[in-house]
Amino acid sequence: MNRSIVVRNLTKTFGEFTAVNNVSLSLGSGEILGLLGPNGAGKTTTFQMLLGILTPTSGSIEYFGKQLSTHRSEILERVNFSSTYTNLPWNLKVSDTLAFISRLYRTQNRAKRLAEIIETFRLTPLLSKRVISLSAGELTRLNLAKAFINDPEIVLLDEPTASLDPESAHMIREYILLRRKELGMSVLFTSHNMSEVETMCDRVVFIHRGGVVADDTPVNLARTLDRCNVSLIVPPEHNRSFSECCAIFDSEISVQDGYSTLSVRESVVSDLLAEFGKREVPLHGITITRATLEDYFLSQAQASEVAHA
Amino acid sequence: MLSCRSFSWQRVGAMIVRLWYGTLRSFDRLTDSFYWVTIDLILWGVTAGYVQQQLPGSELNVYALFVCGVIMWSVVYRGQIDIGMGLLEELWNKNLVNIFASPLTVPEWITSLLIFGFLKNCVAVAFGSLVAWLLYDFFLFPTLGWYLIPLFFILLMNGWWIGFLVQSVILRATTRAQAFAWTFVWLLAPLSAIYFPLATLPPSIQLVAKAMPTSYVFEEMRSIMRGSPPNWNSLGFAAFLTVMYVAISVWLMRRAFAKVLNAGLVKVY
Repeated sequence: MNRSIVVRNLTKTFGEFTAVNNVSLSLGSGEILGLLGPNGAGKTTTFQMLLGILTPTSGSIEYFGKQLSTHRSEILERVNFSSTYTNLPWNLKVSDTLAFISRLYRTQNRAKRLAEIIETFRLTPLLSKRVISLSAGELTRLNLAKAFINDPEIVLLDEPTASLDPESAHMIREYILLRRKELGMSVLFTSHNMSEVETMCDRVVFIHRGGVVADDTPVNLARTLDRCNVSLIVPPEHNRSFSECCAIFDSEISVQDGYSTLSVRESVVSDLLAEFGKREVPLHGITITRATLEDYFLSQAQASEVAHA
Repeated sequence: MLSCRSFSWQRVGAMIVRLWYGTLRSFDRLTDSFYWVTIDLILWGVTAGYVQQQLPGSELNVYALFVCGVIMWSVVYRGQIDIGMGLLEELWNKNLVNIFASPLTVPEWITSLLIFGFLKNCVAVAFGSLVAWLLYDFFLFPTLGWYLIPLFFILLMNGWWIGFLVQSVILRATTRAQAFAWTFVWLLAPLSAIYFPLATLPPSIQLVAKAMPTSYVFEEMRSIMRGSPPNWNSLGFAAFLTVMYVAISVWLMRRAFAKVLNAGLVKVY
């Protein structure tokens, strides 16, 4: 796979504080890469260095085989982004904003592309509105329209669906997947919506305390936990037997809405269920779910906190 | 530091479009272009009328002195405010990241500010001249003739260096220093000897004023109004000082910008 972005040993320090520590990652052509991590992990700092609005302390950033530091304009003409930490000029109309941004990126077939983007992001009724009067969702749609206005080969999206209703968020996800399929667009993606990341991303880079702690597919990352959740309803008179079984298999129990959820190693689930049968614990409404990316996220964050402490 | 290679006039055009829309959609920016010059012309014009009445038979054309002074000083003021506001508008809008995470380079941005500022200034001077003609039957162009062009450009470029100096201060101190954009230029107004000969200033202040290119321009403007040709050596020196100050201020601004990039453009609000 061709590499659209190659980041090598990227480090950013602010005085004594190291925000990003020796991060190396790559984004393949047509790949959707999730950049995950808890708040303060270094995602935003990495994002800013990738956009050229923050100078790295050391390390290199390459797009399309060229250094960002020396080919900035040439590279950024083929890239775009949407981020929660920027605004568009609040006193301009939506139509003004799109007109100036499309010129800034020297968009090919500008009028045609503008018409397409306005239709895709349902901006027609908003064109004469000022940016300041847009709702959070409308503003997110405008930011995303801006991010796709130049038909970018790489798009960096920082929580792109954070303020959108489920239907609009679904539309955006479909659009991203379509652009990837049709044009081979690469996407670097951050989100706190783990199910969205699992659906969208081919690969996930997990950053914590400024460093990369994992780089794999969402499925493989979740699989590393070797845990699964067993949810079931246990009649109160069997609580004692149930607890004894759980203790044997070292499972953690949480109770919500009448359901007991056990977190156990995947390899002992059949033995656990057999033990319930042996002790004649009746099981109702049983569901078994594998560990998700969210479980992985939580475990990594907790493990790192413990290690740090 | 953002590279000045691959300069694109299309991106300069895009930023001019952005500045044009910003002006068109902002009542503040529109009134700013026309309001102050009108108020100053009324205030100083009426004052000039009164002073002229007190000097019967005097050869001094007080109207010309004040009205030319108001219009020509507005060139400096407008020149610097357009540069300073060019940055402040983007900061207030949190749009600085959007434009500098795009292919736009600093030289392209500066060029767009200069071109747009120049065009706005031409309109403002034309408007000021119209107001002066309507209120006082005073004609700027016949008074200064073709000398108006070099005087205008030297004054405009003085507005630019003041504007870039303001930008470098704001980039380092963020919007906490935004008042600098409106106030700093007025600190230089007395040193520019807009309405009075340089010799009127105390000798020690005169020395400082001689470092201000604007003081030479206003001296020569008064000389032209008296019917004498300008001293080209003096204007040449003013132009030389101006170009030097522009170069230094742009260098300072770019240094401040590089420092900001080191800390993160996002943090400059």
